[in-house]
Amino acid sequence: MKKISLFVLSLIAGTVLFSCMQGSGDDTITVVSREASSGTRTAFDEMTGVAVKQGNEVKDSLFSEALISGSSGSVGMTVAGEPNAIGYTSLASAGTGPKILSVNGIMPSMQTVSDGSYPLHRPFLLVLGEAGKTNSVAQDFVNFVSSKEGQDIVVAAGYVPVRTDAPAFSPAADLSGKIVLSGSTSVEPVMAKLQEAYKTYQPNVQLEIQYVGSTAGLKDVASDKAQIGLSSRDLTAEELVTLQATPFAHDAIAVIVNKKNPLNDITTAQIKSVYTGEIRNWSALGDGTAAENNS
Amino acid sequence: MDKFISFFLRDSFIRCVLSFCTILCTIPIFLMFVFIIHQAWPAFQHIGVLEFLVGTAWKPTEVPPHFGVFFMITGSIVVTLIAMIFAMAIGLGTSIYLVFFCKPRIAEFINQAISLLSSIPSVVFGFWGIMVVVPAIRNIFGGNGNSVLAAGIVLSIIILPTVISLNIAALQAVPRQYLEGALALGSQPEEAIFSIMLRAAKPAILNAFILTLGRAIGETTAVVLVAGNANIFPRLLKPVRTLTANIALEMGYASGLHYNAIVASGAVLFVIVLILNLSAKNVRARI
Repeated sequence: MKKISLFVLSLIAGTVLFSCMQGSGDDTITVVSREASSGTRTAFDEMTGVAVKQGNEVKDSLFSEALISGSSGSVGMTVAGEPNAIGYTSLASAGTGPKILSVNGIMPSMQTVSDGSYPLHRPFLLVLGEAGKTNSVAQDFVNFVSSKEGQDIVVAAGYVPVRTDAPAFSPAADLSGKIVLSGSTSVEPVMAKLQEAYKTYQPNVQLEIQYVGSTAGLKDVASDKAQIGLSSRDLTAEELVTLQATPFAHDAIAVIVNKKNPLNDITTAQIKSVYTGEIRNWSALGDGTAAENNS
Repeated sequence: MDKFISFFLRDSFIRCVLSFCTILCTIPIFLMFVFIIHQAWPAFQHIGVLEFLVGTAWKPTEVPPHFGVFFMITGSIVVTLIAMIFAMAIGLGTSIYLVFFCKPRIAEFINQAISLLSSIPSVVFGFWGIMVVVPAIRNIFGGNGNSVLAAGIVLSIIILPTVISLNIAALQAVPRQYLEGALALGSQPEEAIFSIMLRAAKPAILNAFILTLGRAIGETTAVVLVAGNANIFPRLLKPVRTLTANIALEMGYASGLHYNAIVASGAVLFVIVLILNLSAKNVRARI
């Protein structure tokens, strides 16, 4: 009996001692990022300068204590639930829980993304390899997505279209067969709708779509396992040698904070400092923008 | 016709079928073993076993990439140990109460409640952890709540039913005569239980501890949701990444060396659990 109560008491004492050693202020920024293979994270890291290219090397300087979430949705949930958090997510997945910040004074919206004034955006690409360029079904699908009907679906899904004056779709006659599309999971919501709509134009064509991530999808296209690749990031110089990319949508990456946070705007330089861990407190981000903490 | 039917009812045929079932059962383990070794080997070759195990940077997107699981191994061990301490402390107390002090009708009701706890899927525990445990830790201790402590608490509740049922079995296996003898010699009930019965059940309780440890170290879903997944040395109130969380987070997208490195971290987990099970066997041999 004595041993066990001693044990429990030492447990409590240990916990209290440990917590005393932490000493993080009420003002500390909780940085939320995505796992290393996420296309959203790769795009974000590149655009904000968290991932730095030095010649042939790429250095990832994300703050070591950043929380890693497994999906865009869970980033939104974490940020909405914690007053001191900051995160980033696809604009279409942001939802109403967190507050969206303007970057360099510009709020993300269809207008600011299509005219390029909002700095954090990435293209969704349909990528054709050698085999895909000569495949009539693949060409027809790319035409469909770039047409007025396809772009309308892109808008309805919450993304920014590549052109507002797209021509109407004229389907190629007598098409049948199956093509494989492979790539990013970020494009899944809009791909599903495009697939459904395409079926009404070409009922004899089957589309098999696999969501394995941008890089894996591009590899599949290069090795002819898939006819069309789906990418949520720009192609690298070596990929552009053999692959042809057609953008079909733009997606903005929104920087989100908790609704209780009085901050409204952030600069790209500040984003980089927060995400590399240089700035650790909300009060360092500008006048009177310290987050209120209710504890 | 009779001869035909009796062939199938013959003892040797039935034995054949049963041994075939057994072999079928053991094949998945071998296949899994072969798969893990085959996929992890390129990672160990390119990265080097020592560099992989002792390295502290996990940066697959860098060029050149760095793969080191040291912080994750320590993260897994620390989170599991904390969970085991909480679970053993509460679970042992509960099992002692249920075996020796509780009235049978109430004991049955409590047993039902505990087995209900064991049937809840772990993702629900993770969700509950995000909604309740993480904000509570944030309010009491500061910081952001996603921490070793949060993961430890959630994990301890997940393994609690296992611990309780194993400990109850361990205590019930001790002959009742020991308790009666001690009481007859004049000791208080509590004294008899703690000095005699617990001590007699010690090897079995230790066995229960090691088995549950093996289960706890492999828990993924709930831990990924509450632990914060930062690759740093585990501190009680800071986020942590375990080996299982690492695999779950990056498996979907990884390719090439990154993929091999993830399977390699799975191989490390495999080896840890293997060592635990072997030492459990040693302890069982001493019972």
